[in-house]
Amino acid sequence: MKRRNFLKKSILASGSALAAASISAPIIAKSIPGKKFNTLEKYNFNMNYAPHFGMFKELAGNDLIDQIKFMADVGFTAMEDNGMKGRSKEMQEKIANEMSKLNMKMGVFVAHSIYWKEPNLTSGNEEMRKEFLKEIQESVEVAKRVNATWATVVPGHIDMRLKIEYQTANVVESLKQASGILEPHNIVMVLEPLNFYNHPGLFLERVPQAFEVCKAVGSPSCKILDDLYHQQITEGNLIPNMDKAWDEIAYFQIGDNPGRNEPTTGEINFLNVFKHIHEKGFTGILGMEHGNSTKGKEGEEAVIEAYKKADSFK
Amino acid sequence: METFLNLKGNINHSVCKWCYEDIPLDTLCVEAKKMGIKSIDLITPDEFDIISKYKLDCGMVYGLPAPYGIENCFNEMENHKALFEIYKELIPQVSSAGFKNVICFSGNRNGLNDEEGLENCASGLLPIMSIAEKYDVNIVIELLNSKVDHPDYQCDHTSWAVDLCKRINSGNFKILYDIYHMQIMEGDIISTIRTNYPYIGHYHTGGVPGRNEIDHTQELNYPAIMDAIVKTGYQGYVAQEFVPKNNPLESLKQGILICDV
Repeated sequence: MKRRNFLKKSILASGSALAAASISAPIIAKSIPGKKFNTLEKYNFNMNYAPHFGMFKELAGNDLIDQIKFMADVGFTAMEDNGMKGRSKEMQEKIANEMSKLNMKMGVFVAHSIYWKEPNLTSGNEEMRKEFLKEIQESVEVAKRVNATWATVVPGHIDMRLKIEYQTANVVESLKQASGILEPHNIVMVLEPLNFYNHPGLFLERVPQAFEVCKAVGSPSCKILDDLYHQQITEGNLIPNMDKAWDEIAYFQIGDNPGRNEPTTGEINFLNVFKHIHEKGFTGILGMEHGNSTKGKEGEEAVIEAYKKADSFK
Repeated sequence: METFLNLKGNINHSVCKWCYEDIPLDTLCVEAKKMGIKSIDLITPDEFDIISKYKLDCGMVYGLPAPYGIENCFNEMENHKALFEIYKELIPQVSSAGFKNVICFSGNRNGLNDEEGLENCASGLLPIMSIAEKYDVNIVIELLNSKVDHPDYQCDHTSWAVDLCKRINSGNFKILYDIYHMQIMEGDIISTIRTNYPYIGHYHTGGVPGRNEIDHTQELNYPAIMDAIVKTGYQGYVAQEFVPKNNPLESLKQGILICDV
């Protein structure tokens, strides 16, 4: 079923309810009984914001394909799924098919096992490096299967036994080898600096540091994922920092601070941050890697409304 | 008194004089009063009479004659004697004018590490604190960014300023948490305020980047920050310290409304 038909059928199915309803009344979607959402007209977002599975499960139901249809109906043009690699081949294909039918872009998935508590890539250990490269190789297959261009890489925990310069060199060497695997397929690993507060002890923490690593790797397959939530905690100064690192940034993730929920719930003025990213000519994906500030259907509707508001810069 | 803005009364509004340098202080006072602003920031003692004439408060007094100021202040041991004399005279003046806060600075690092800077500042400020306590006037150190506006300034991180407060250990020594400067240096504004509010005695605003209007043209969501400030039980002033790009008084009014949560 095409997206437009999905929405149209929903409207038809709810004809009687609609007749008695005011402008903002919810509509009942036929294929997801009992689920309502407020979006009569598909919203035309200026950028590719990518929701996650589960974000709209109250409105769209537990079925992943229904959730994708719902996202498309709202007007989202992308979706990201950190755990894609762990899904069955059949499910990966099903998701990818639905998304290509709906003309949605695939966002990041996590490309490899992240070492949260012990060093892997920073140590320079050959076995660890081999394990990483094997997983990158596997991720190429997943990326091709799901039409993904970007996959998230987190270089893991620091190695307390090595000076930081050696750790950087070890990480760069692993990423160079990984780039060799990715380049022929035009797949890009995006390095995500994480904040020290939620993730203490990780090697990659700051955008300038990720910039240095990317420049040293020197590959179109090694870029930065600028997660604005993490960077607001670690560095602030979001717009000037992204400008400085712009030619290495390939992907954004979103989350307001504090709380890591949708825009409008914290201290970041996403309206202007999005405007800036748009004016820079960004055509990639901005992953909605955050929670819903309010539970239930109302909370899910609030997320949609927050994105409409934050996207209303032109 | 005529109040044009329907303010909620949760935030006590102030405005920094230097951002409106083309407007005579008298005019600024009149216009500020109309907006419901209660205070003008960074006023020198020779201007106290003007402020008082309009029954306005001065949320933050500036009283440092050259060569002392942002770049040259308490982290330099050689300055301590002169600074003591300045504050010894200033504090009673501030008190008798009915004002509460006087600004101070660390000065530039000039090669001093964090620890040396803390030690020097504390040793210069401690003798002044007994006078401040006697008159119940607050000495308030300003956090500034050292990346864009004030290269090499030492008091450029909240944790450093909090360390200094702990060393001085006086209820009359506080931090001026400048939201603009700290967004440039640190980010994480609301969490930082929630953690450190007992040490914070004053707030300044400004849009990032650019230090202009605090509206939709910059990256901070000021109402959310103001909500967090109100929830800490803060009773002091929030002073607008942005450089208006548009009509200055219209922008000021807009800034007040944005912060009036």
